[in-house]
Amino acid sequence: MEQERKIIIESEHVSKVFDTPDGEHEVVHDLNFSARENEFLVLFGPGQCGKTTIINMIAGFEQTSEGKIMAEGEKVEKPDISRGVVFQSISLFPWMTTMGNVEYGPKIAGVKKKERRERAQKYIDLVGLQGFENSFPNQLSGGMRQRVGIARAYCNEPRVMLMDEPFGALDAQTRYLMQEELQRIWSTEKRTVIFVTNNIEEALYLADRIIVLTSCPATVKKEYVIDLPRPRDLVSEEFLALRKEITGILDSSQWEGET
Amino acid sequence: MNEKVKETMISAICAVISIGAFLLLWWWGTHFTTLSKLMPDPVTVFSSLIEYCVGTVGKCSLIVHMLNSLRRVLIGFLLGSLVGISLGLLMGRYMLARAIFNPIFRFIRPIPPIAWIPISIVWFGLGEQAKIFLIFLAAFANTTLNAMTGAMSVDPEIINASRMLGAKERQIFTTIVIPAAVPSIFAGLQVGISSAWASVVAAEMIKAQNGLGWTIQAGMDNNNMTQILAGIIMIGVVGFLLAYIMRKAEEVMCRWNKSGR
Repeated sequence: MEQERKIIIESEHVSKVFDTPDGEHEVVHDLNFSARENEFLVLFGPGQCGKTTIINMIAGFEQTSEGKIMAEGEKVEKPDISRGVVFQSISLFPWMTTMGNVEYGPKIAGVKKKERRERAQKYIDLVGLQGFENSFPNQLSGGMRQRVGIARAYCNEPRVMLMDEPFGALDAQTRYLMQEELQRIWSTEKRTVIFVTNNIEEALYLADRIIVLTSCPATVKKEYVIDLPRPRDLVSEEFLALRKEITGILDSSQWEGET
Repeated sequence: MNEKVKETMISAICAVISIGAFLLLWWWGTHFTTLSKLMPDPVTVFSSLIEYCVGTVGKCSLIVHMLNSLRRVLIGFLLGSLVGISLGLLMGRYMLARAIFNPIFRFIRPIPPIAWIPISIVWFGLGEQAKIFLIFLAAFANTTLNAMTGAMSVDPEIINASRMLGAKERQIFTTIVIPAAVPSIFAGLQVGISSAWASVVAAEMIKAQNGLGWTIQAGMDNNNMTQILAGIIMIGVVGFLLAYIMRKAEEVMCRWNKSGR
């Protein structure tokens, strides 16, 4: 029945080549995968393997060199409000308060003040930032900033959320907390999520499905459907077994890449 | 917080001491050395300063002279920085605007405002317009480059964030590029206001019926050192206040840019 759900994002034979002073550098090679409606899809791979480039291409920030990305049947060419992005660098608007950041999307779309305030407040509450509406980003901790980043993306009510190692810059404790928070938010506000990480525990904790990517250039190595019950027990036998297996194939794929 | 109070106290005390020591040295010099041949003592200067403020220097009081200078500066500075900032922001955001205006601008910028005095007199005569034109140039030259740098150095990821939230190019410019450039713009305004103030004095020294520049020029013509010094002190005080107001405006506008609480 999983397979019956509508495909929202589809990557068709996507490659990406960058021109560098040392010649052409392929970071993504013939990448094929799809994300279905309301699915939490994790792209898991080693560091520096073009994962951010993949997110940037799905978002429409960057063009593919070959192949195409389809979003609900339309070719992705530029950013669109139907695809929200949560950045690793967080990238809030530093001169705007929490409220200003979260209501930015509806505001530039011309939504009336009362309505957009209510909507923004809903998402500020959802990420647990009530009381910090008038704080500027530089007055918030890293974890709180990324909550604003998540609320800002959600407030535009996109069809798909693209998350590029959103917790990569946080300390381990905060990161763990944010994973739980995201799991809770996702259960309340179902969306298709494409989540990029190089942390296997994070991947297994959040994913419906994990796509394991090879090291540079990135391509699909293997796919796992994770049907463990949520919220997941990080030390259950199944969890640890999967963790071991996926870490194992990642190691060998890196090794293959080097020969 | 306590540390900060302490710091402010120390700098306040030091300011009083250093200014006091300077005045004392001046006083001592005019009473016990040949400095008395060159300039009057501080007591005479400051009492004359007050007299000039309540009484008159030439046709009006020193305060009115100061207000005349201030009016010229504010008009010229407002126009100059408005044009400078607008042009700078466009040059920062749009490659074509940069390609067109940057070469001319790079050439004009190093020319000191006072070098324009002859041209300004030929073009605008000896009236207000010539002086305002000079201040305009001073403000323009100092604000454009900073606004351009500010608009160019906006974090591209922040621009991407606004795009994924639905911002069109015009909205990116007005809601992202302009506010992001504000700290950089203020850096230009700081230099611009000081340079504009310096230029008005220079302009008034050439040909004027009033203004602080006229005051010191007239003092020289009448060999009245007290009047020159009173004018100079007034120029210094107002210049200091203008820079101070600009700094405070920056603090309010750029609250978000300060790290920590």
